[in-house]
Order: sequence, then C-alpha cells, then structure tokens
Amino acid sequence: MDGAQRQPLTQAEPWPTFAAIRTSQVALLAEAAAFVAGPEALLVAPQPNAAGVWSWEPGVVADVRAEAWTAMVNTDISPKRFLLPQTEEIFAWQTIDRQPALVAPALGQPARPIVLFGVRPCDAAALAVLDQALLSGEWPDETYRARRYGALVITWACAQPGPECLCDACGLSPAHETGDVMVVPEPDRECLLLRGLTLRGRQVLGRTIEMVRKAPEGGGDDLAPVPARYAAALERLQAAATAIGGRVDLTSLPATSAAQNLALFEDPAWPALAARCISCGTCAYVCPTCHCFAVTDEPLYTSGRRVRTWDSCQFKEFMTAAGGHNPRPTKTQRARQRFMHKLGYHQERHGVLMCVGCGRCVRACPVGLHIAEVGAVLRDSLAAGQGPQRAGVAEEETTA
Amino acid sequence: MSHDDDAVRPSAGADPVNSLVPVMVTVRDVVRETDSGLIRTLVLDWDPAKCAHPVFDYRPGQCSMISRIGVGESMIAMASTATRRGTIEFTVKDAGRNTNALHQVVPGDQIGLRGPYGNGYPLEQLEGRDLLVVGGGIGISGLRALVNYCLDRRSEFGHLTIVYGAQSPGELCYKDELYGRWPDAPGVDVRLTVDAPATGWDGFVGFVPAYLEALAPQSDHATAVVCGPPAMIRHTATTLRRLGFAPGNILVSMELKMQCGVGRCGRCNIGGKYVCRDGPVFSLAELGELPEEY
Repeated sequence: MDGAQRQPLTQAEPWPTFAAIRTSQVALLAEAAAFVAGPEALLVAPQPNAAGVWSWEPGVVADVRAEAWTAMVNTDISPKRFLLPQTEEIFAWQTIDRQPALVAPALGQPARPIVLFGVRPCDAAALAVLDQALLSGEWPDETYRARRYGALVITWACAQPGPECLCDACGLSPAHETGDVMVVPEPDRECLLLRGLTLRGRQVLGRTIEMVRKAPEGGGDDLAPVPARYAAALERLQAAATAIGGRVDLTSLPATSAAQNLALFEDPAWPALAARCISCGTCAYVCPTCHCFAVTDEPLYTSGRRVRTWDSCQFKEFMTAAGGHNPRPTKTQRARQRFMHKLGYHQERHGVLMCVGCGRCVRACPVGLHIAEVGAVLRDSLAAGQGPQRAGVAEEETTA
Repeated sequence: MSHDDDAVRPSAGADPVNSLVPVMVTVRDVVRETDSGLIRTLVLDWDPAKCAHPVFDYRPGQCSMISRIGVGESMIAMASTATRRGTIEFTVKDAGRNTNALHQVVPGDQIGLRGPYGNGYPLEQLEGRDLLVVGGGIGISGLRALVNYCLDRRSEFGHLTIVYGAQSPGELCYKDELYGRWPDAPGVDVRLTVDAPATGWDGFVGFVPAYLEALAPQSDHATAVVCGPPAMIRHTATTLRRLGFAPGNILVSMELKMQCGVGRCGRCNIGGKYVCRDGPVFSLAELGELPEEY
C-alpha cells in the first residue's frame, strides 16, 4: 500500500458495523485491513498452485480476487503457523569465558502485524481455541500473544461446504461469525456484505467505505439496506449443512465433566477405533487447533539455539521420560488421547470442543480415520451401555 | 475471542520476557548425596533481585526447569525451602542427557533456571495436622523441602513422621538431616528402610509399603504426603487406604515428561489436567477422577 497517502484514523468517528461493496472491489477491503493493521503489516491470503491446491501465502493486495473464496473449499494447511510457527527460536547462546550466555534479542519486540485475509470460519474459530490453550493461566505464551493481538482476521463465509467438512457437527456453521470482519457473499455474488465484529473490524469497514467512495466505479452508498441483506445472506449460508452434520453432533457427546470423560476414556470401543491408526501424526500437523510443542537444544560447538517445534501426541516417544517410562506406549492409548483431547478434555477445561470441523485430518489421514465417526461410535457405545469398563489397552501391543 | 472484547486487547509485544527463556544462575556447590554418585544436590546462588521472572517465594512441592544450556531442560522439585534464603537447591538423579550433564557441573558454572511451577503442597490444608511423610528414592527431595519448611514454622504443624526407603543404606539422601537434624528436632520421628539386607544395617529391611504396614501409623488428624517411583506410589496408596487414610488425606506428587512446565506443550496432559500446572501434587481423590495414564 502507498505509505505517502496514510492518514491517521480518527478515534472519534463512529465506525460502521455493516458495509456492502461490489465483489470486484474486494482488493479495497484488503487494502483497508492492511491500513488498520498498521505500518509494515504483512497480508497473507490463500493462493492456488498449479495443481489447484490452495495455500496461505504472503501476498499483495492486487492479487486478492473474490473468485478465490468461491473456488476454494479451504487451504491445505491452516493459517495457524503465522501465529504459532512450526519452528520458533526461544533463544540463542554462545560460550563466553567458558559459560553459556543467552542471546534473546527478539524479546519484548512487537511482532510484525499480520492480516489473515480470507480465513474460513472454522479456522477463525480455531484461533479462539488456541487462545484458550495458550493464553490462559499464570504463564501465557508471550510470543503467540504478540502475534495474535497484532493480527487482523478477515473471515470469509463458505459458499459451499466441502466433502470432508463437519463444522456443523462441531456446533459451528459455514457462516459462523468470528474474527474481526465477517465477509458474506450475496447469492448472486455481485456484492460482498461485511460486518465489523470488533472495534478494529469496524475501523476496517470505515476505511473500506471511504476508499470505495473515492473509487472510479463508485459504490457503497447505493447498496443499502445492508444489515437486512447481511442477515438474510448469513442465515442462508448458516443453514447449509455438511454431509456429516445431519448424522453426528459432536457437541452432544457427554464429554464436559471429568466423570463423563473418564467413562468415555474407559469405553471398550477404543482398540477397534484405533486399529487402523499408524501413529504418523499427520492429523496434528494439519489441525488448526493442535498446539503441542517440543523444546529442543541445537548445539553447534560453542554456540547454538533452543527451539520449540510442533509435536504430536501420536508419536511413541512423546511422553517417554528419562529412564524409559512411557505412560502411553500403545497406539490405541495415543489415538485415544488425541480424540479425547479434541472431544472431551479441552471442553472439560475451557467449555468448547477442540475440534472446529475443518475436515483436514479427515482429508489427510492415510488410513481414513474420521473424527465424526469416532464420535458416533462412542455415542452409540455409551447408548448401548457397554461402558464403562477398563478397555485393557495396556496389554494390547502396538504395530507402530 | 468473542466479538465484544475489542477494548481489552493488550498491545502487541507488551510482555517483557518469553517465559521459556531461563535465567542464568551460578552453581555454588555440588553435594554427592549417595555412594553410587547417581544422586547429587546442586546448590545455586539465589538472588531474586537478579531474576527477571517474578518468582521465588516458592512453596514446598513446586518445581522448576533447570537446564544445562545446549543439552536440555528438566523439571525438578526444589529440595530447599524459601524460608531459608540465599541459595536454592535441586537434588538431581542422573537419569538422562540433561541430568547427566547437570552432574558434570562444578562450582562457578552457570545453569539455566525458570520457575517456580506447579501448585506445591496445600500448606493451608496441612496447617495444624500431623504429617506422615513417605518417600522412596529420589522422591525424598521435594519432601525434604516440606519437612524443612515445617521445621522452620514448627508451631503451625503437628507431629512429623518421616518414612523413607532406598535401595541400600548408601543410597539414602540427606544423611546429615536423616541421622541428625531431623530426629533431633521436636516432634519428629524418622523411620528408614532399605530394600535388601546390608552390612551394618540394623533397621527395617523391605519396601516402603511393607514398612508402613508394620509401623501402622495413626491416621486420625494426619495427612500422608507421598513421593517416589510410580510403583511405590501405587502400593503405598493402597496400604495407606487400608490404614484408614481417606483419599482426600493422601497427597501424591506426580512425575511426567515435561518440556514447557507451564501447561502449554501438552506433554503432561492427563484427562482435563496438566500435571505441570494443575499438579504436581494431587490428592488420591483427585487422581481417582483422572485416566490412569501416568
């Protein structure tokens, strides 16, 4: 964007809650978002590769096309990595006078603000889950927080759920309102209807309208009445059901208390459910809410660094302590941990499912494990009154 | 984040430190605790003013991450008590790469420290009660912090019975305290056992649960505080239940692989709990609500 034309936003101005723009003017929305995010803001948006796979890439405003978000179901990997990088240096060190001296120059510096432009509602909802996991308690994650609160999230309602989508089974919908700005395309796709969900989101709308009025083709003022049209378009998209949503409701699984989760944990269905799992951990790497990490030292002679990297509870060594003790040596125990964390433990602690129904793990799983099917089997197993009893998984040996 | 909290976003980069970065502290002394040399106590200079972390009025039972930079980090219980200032102590068993590297340090070396983490012992609940302190092996280290804390604030606690077992007499830690300062203190009994008969040992021979059975300590007005290897904890808990201790009056310290220490890396997640943050001290009643994955 053109820094020379930058003018400060006036706090006193009443920022609009709703706005409408022509679909062809979507780049102005991106430019307004980058303006509100601040100088040096990095705009990232889904871009297709030659094979038609969409990925999050740093982009320029001019590349933003509205067709992107009707042609795309979702990106291959979630935008999580912009807030929680796959590898992050905690500190570097070098040896001075025979003792290690830590070098952590990045500390205390604000993260570069980022605009996540065109986030699907599931992935935007996943950020709230990450907030709960990483920012609650006595020791919040400082580097995540710096990036998170510098980030502007422009959420794009889904025109059509994909074959593996299950947001409605997770209590969300293809047009779940979350993020800073909600973008809903009208049925004829002529217009984009916008709602500012936060103060900064409404600032983005104000800036957008300002720019639209100055644009040669005009717009904005002749597009009323916006709130009613927004509500109608939103309702239509929210009602769109996914293939799985009508059959399974993961929010109704009794998994909100320690006692309920213990009963689910002890359900005899787990060995059969996990039989196909090969503990590859792919699910964790594509998941927008998985946040477990490893801390590793990388020494090189007299200097080095300590990094944290994404990790997965599916790996056999995840919990192995010095001395060799491993509380979850079998793949059944590890698969159960993943699904119990998604469906139960996080809910017990924070009140919401840790699955947002993006469907990536379903798509990526090499052996076809499906979180909604796991939920359905547990539901049916509980209903059949088979549990609770100890599943005896500790005796069953792993192939992994 | 909900729609409504737009006013409360903290400004980006407001945090002065990344809490995963340790503070460097100087080793003042290294004490070889056992004949095998596998257990040593690191005595560290401790000046809270020099530390960026807002720490250290720590409670007995809390832990810290201590680190040989370039090797790794380990969650270790404080073996000292904040009622004694100037130094902070960690008793470390040589069990893995980092603990082995920590065994190589000499006075003057610098190691990384961050903490304190975890809940520690519920001192308010323990006030006025008799304590049955039950330790096995290296598990005695966090209990030593509790015992010394109680001795420093003697009037706040009832009778102290310390039952401690190790493989052999030479593997018992803190011998000065076991044979001197603790039994010499008012209202303290020290009962020691070893796994197998040994020359010169005229005390009890057998595992800790068997010794407890033989001692049959009074459970009225008493809370049992247990730390040791997983198998020892299991059998000890069963024995204590048989002796009449209620599940809420049996406190155990859990030990799991941990890498962040602050409830984020996910390694010590069991059920809805993170052992590093919600523990490491749980009552047997609380443990009963958790999956048995420890």
